[in-house]
Amino acid sequence: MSLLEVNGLKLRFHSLDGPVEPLNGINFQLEKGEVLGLVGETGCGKSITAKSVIKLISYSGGEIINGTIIFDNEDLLSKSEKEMQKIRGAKISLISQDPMTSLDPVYRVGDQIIEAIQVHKKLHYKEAKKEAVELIRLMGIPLPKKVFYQYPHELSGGMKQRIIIAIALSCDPALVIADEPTTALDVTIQAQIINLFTKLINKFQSSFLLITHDLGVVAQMCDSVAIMYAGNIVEKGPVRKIFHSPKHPYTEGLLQCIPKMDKKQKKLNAIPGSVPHPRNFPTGCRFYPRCQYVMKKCLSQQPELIEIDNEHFVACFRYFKNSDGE
Amino acid sequence: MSDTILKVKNLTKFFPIIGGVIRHKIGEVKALSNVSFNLKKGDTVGIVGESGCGKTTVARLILNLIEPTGGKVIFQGQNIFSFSRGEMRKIRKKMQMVFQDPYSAFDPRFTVFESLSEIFVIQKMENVNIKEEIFRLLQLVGLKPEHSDYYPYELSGGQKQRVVIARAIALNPELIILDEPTSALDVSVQSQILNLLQDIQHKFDLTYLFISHDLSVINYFCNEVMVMYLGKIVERASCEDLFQQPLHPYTKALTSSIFVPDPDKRLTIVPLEGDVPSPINLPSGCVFHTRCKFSSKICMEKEPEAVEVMPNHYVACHHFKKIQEK
Repeated sequence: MSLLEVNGLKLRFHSLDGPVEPLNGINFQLEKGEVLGLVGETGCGKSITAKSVIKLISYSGGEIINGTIIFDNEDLLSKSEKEMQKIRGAKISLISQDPMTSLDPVYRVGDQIIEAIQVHKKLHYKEAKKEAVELIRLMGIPLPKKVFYQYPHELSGGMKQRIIIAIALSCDPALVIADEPTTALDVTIQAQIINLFTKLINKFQSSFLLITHDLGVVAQMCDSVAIMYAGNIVEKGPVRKIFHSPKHPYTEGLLQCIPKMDKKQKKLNAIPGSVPHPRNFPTGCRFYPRCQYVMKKCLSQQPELIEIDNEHFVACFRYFKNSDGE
Repeated sequence: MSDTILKVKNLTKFFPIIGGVIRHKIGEVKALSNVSFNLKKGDTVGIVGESGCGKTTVARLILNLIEPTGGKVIFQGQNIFSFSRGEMRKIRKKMQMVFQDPYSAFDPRFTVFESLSEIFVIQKMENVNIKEEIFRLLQLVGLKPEHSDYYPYELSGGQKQRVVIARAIALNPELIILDEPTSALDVSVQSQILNLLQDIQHKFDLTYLFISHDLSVINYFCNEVMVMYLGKIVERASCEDLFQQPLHPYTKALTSSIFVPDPDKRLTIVPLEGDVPSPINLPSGCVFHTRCKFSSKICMEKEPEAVEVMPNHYVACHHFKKIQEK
């Protein structure tokens, strides 16, 4: 039994120009202890997928109109807001993209960790403080007792991100969702944080849902990858299969877009065009206007995800054996 | 030397910190100290470094957008800091800049046409057929004449960056400073823009100063790189030399913090501990000694000077020989 199962997830946002449905039935599973990377470009729907999993999407103006989210054998969509509050932070926690704005500037960072602990565990301040200092130490921060009493503005970006990770892990969650956790950081700090993640994953045995646009980070720490494009998962599978033998034309293009370090290239491969807006997604396969292998069928029909290899799924008509699908 | 287009000599910039009751100067941010380099015509030189290392300050000083604390910028044989505003306007035709964020580079209430035609008005070029010229520019950057009637919000990030590039090449400049031109863009669009910049460079024989924090992009795009750390250039070499044989410990750490998109090449060690020190209280001696594993007594006392270790490979480190032998 998977830890998290998302089936047929569809969202609707209401705007002045009418409703928008940015997700087109997302399906994925996350096993216990697995690190899954959800990869895609701006506007592909990766962040709203993550927010839907912890039912925070209504705060961004969205509404879940279809699908099921099963976490630990429980249906999250049937839970009330009160019940969800007990799950958020305790069983599922979220690390957001921007460490600069995620902490409250008027509270000491230690107290912000304690707040997270005391919401979910019945602990006295002293015990909670002990735990908080221990967590800060675990994040590889020198002088944890001093940092405990500091305010967010006294810390660097990398330090702040470590504190946020400490808050996220304070209640030993079964699932951690990290939304672009290193995008705002410098390369050397990014290396430190990713390294810290890798260590913590081994220690806490939590499952990780990593949302990112950086294929380098995915290759570094994920077990499996799901590639998203325009509200669809177009390819998913174990990390080695996706990087060494990408099957979907979008995955292939994306990997070729990254300049290689080991050799000097004359010309970079580029995917023509740009990501469509959710309001005017093309009919048929949503990638066809940018695809070099486009066939007649792609213009009118949407390909489903099919398994082409052990645990390797692709949504592309090139891999359908006959016209009815496999 | 006739083929040197830009000479930067001992460029220094300290930003004052104003504070206290009587609003006096209480300190200085040492953004840039004693930076010198030359650019040859047709070169593409990259500046790489982490946030706060002074990359953008160099760009703004070269264009005379901010007052220097000391030093000279000699463009085509003339010191630009001695120019009056009127003279500066004339020389700006020859040097242009592409900024990082295409989203804030335009007046939201101007159409593309209005934004682009402003250039010719400001430069008092009445004899130009503005309409024809703008259509020609848009075509050059891969857009259609229709796009001239669009407002910025109607364009995607990639299209906006194309218009920014069109604006930069409108007056036939000789030098273009590209300040993180692709970091706000998605990877698939990034490669389109990089290819466009290369085409334009060949067409118009341009010189580029390319500022970025992304080493793989620098390696692809530039023929020479300067690595900056805390307002100083610590190493300068051709791309091949620098990436294959980095001599400064900071460059070494930078090049080994890149996550290659290949799951078989995972990093196992953290290349660099700690954070960048504050530019308000710079470390004594070599600014990097607080994070350097080769650091010794001399590093704390004496600032290393740039040495030409190999032809056209400069490094500012006391211990480069030790590193070279390793």
